[in-house]
Amino acid sequence: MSTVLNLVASHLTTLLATNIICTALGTTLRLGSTLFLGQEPSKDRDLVTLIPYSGEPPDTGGYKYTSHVQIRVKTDSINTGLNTQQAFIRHLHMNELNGRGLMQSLNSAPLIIGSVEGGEKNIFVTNFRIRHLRI
Amino acid sequence: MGKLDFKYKGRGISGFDPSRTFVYPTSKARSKSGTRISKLESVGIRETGEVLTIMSKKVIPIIAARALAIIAVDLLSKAQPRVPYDIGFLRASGLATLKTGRATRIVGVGKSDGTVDSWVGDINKSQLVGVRTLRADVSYHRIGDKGEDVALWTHEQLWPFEARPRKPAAKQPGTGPKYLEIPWLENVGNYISFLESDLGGEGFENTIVLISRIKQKRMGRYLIKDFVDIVPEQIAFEGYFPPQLGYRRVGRRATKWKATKQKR
Repeated sequence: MSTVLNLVASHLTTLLATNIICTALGTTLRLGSTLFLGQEPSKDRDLVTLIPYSGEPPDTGGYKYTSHVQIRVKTDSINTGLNTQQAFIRHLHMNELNGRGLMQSLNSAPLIIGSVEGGEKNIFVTNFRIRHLRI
Repeated sequence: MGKLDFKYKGRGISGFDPSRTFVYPTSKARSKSGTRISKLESVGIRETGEVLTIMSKKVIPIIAARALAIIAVDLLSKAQPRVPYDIGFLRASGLATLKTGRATRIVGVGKSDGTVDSWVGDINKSQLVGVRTLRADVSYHRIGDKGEDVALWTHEQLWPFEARPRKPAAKQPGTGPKYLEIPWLENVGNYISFLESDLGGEGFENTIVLISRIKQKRMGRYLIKDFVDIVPEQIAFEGYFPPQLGYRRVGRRATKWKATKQKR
């Protein structure tokens, strides 16, 4: 599972400031400051978290497996959150991550799961399926 | 609202063996080269056409509709134990529906104790006249007291329970997020193989056998001993608890199916 996270995280950290994701979020993605794995700090804002979750049973042949990851954006602004998530979908959907795994978005639009306690930060999520093939 | 849907589109049948067309030699003449030539008379072409009509208009739509409904109900029943509950409103909002053309029918509902009520057997041919598209949906819908979408929130909030900023009661063991998506991912392979079997493989053949009645019939001057008659109404008496999805058959007679589910 950590391999999946590393794969996606390392790809996101290479994105330039001109990328549509960074433009929408207003900052580049750096591990530990704006990009987190598993869980983000509760008080920070304008950040992205990658959370893996289980998926289909593995292929017994061992030549392919499928994993899933949820991309979660927490921002103060609903507009920023929606634009960032839509940018994630546009950038990652059918992206092969340098030939190591094909990402497929499970949502055509971000899901808004509401605000955190206090109501000042909003959380948006999208889910991706990652198909790995061993050639 | 958490929701999954899947479709089946049927457009007639193919590969059917017209087993009710019989060819009988009526003489034993021989050609000049010595090859035996029979004067042939075919019997049963009209009856074969009738069987094909029954198959395409009555049998296959019912089989396809029930197969989809079974999958929807099975998915709902596998999701129910994972659905977070406090007083059970979210579990009770579980719904399995079958859309036949423009009509939508409820084929299963969740109950607050984690079980499912279903009405797969109520699907009959009168509901499927002229229908060319079938669609099944499984969904949950619950809006909380403060206006939040509880079904979506509990489905998508992947944080550990203790780390969550809000706690709308989801801490019972075995329940948690992705309560509908994970059962779907775990079983989608079974559902595909079940559809392949039930609509075109051995399961389909078994269904045809179960809804067939073999009898004698006189056709002109011939007495057909193995006349196969299709009885679509027989489907209503057959249980649909496919072993591919973890069910087993109880009893000896086909009409004595019992919905006993194996323990997981």
